Amino acid sequence: MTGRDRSNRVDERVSDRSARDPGHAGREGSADLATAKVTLPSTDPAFARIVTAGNRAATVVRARDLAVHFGEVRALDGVDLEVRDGEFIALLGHSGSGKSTFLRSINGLVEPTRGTLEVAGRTLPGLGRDQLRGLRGDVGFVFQQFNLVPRLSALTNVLVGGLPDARVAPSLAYRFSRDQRRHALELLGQLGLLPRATQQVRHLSGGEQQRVGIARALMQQPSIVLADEPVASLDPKLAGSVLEDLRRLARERGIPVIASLHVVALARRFADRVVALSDGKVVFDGPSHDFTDEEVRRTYGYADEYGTE
Amino acid sequence: MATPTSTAPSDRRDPDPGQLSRIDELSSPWPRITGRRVLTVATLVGAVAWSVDGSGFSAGALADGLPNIADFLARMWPPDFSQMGRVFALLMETLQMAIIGTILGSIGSLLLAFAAADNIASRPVYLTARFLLNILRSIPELVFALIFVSAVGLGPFAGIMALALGSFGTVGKIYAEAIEAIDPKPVEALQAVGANKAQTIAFAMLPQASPLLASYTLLLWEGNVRAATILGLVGAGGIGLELTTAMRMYDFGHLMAIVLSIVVMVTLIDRLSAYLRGRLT
Repeated sequence: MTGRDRSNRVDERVSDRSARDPGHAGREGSADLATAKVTLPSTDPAFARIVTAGNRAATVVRARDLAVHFGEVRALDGVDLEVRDGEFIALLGHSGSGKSTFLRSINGLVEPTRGTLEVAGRTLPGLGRDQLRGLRGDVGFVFQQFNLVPRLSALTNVLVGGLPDARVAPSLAYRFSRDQRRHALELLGQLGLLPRATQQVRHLSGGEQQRVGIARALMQQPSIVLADEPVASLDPKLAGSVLEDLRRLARERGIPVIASLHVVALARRFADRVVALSDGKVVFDGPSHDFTDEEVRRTYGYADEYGTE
Repeated sequence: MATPTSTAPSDRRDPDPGQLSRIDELSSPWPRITGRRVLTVATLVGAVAWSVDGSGFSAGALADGLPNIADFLARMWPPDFSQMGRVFALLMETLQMAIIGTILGSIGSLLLAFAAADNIASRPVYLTARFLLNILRSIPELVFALIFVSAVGLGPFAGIMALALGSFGTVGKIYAEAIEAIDPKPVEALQAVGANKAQTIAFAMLPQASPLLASYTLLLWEGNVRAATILGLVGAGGIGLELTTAMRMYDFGHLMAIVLSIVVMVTLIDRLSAYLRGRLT
């Protein structure tokens, strides 16, 4: 996607919003997620970001000298990185290289020890509790183990993503607005899961469960989606289809995706950009086709592209 | 020597002498005698001996008394069902008390359990709630019944309140432990979407704990039905008063009819409860 395409898309979103969404009316229920996203209220930092984006793709995440230390352990040690709209980034590196810590710092689950992190118009560290909740509501997270509630239906698990937007008292009794339910069902439909909507997720296959996890993240109408080893628990065929879903998310809806992976071949095949970490430092950042075997060796210390030794 | 199908690793090393003696030791089919096991058995034996000594348990006295038991049972036979209408009405009152007492008790227990679960409450709240539960558990239901009889007067309402408070002590702690035993991963997901604490409890914790909570609640109900049969002893409603009156009046036929009726009701409720619990998973 070129810069011009991106800027057009951003402009469309802005004009589309002003045309058909003077208030909150269009917030839910849009089949087209690219337009659904612009229905954020005008006070939302994500909206401000879109308006000020100008001719270039908006930067959603900007890490400056980001460091996270756990006691003596330097999980992240001076990371500088920018993430723009529509990118699908694969985060690579051996276990303990800082991949999870980086993802968790973006949604505020871990605090920076040094440096700053701007995420969708908010700056970390220094957010209060409510601001932190707001940030998390704006960042979709897809987990390796899916982290769904096993006894709840696929539909309810997706609706969980809409909890911060729902009225609290009815939500505690599992009551959501018709618009929210419709939106959740449309997301399930787009991921091919509509026939499963009323089934408890514990009866779904791993791939289906991970799609429910993706739908839950999309239900948040996120500015960015983070995925921590999203396919590590899936067999290769399902892994491919889940990554394809994530790639489409970035391409068609413009939502940037950062997925940590431990299989180099999958990163090369699906990602636009590879960011490789080693000992908490960025050792490669560039288009995925430039992530050569030489770079693999520099990142992992050996050249097996499957990263499994 | 090794066939092609042998699973022996090719880089097998000869075990050193230390390994050999460990293999000898662990391959003995007899239970190993360790200091911990000796201590465990000694403690158990000691506790039993201490209890037999203090409680005056005597197999001989029991054997000698058998004829007296037979004599007592013979006097209770045949049961006298002439007042069955009143017995049935009192049994229904007992059951109703148990139902309302269990509902009030389980709601209160659940609220206390939130405070007594270490994955929800802060440390001071947790410790306070656990302490409160210990106090409630050590107070017998009959004492609660007496307190409420003096507060709200004779009758089943006092019994209901006694059952509810007794329930806190009975299931408050096991509810809390059911909540503590849930998988934390969905909780992490709820935090990651920006849900608040009440929403996290409602969507990630309760759905996971609910089969266990429902099962414990049914067991509590069974227990409360049995407990409700004796609360009448202090005038807190139910069939207990009728039962003790029959005993004092040596109205053994009527007593037998009451006991048999209670047996039938408790059995039916146990079966129903077991059936419902079986359908929970």
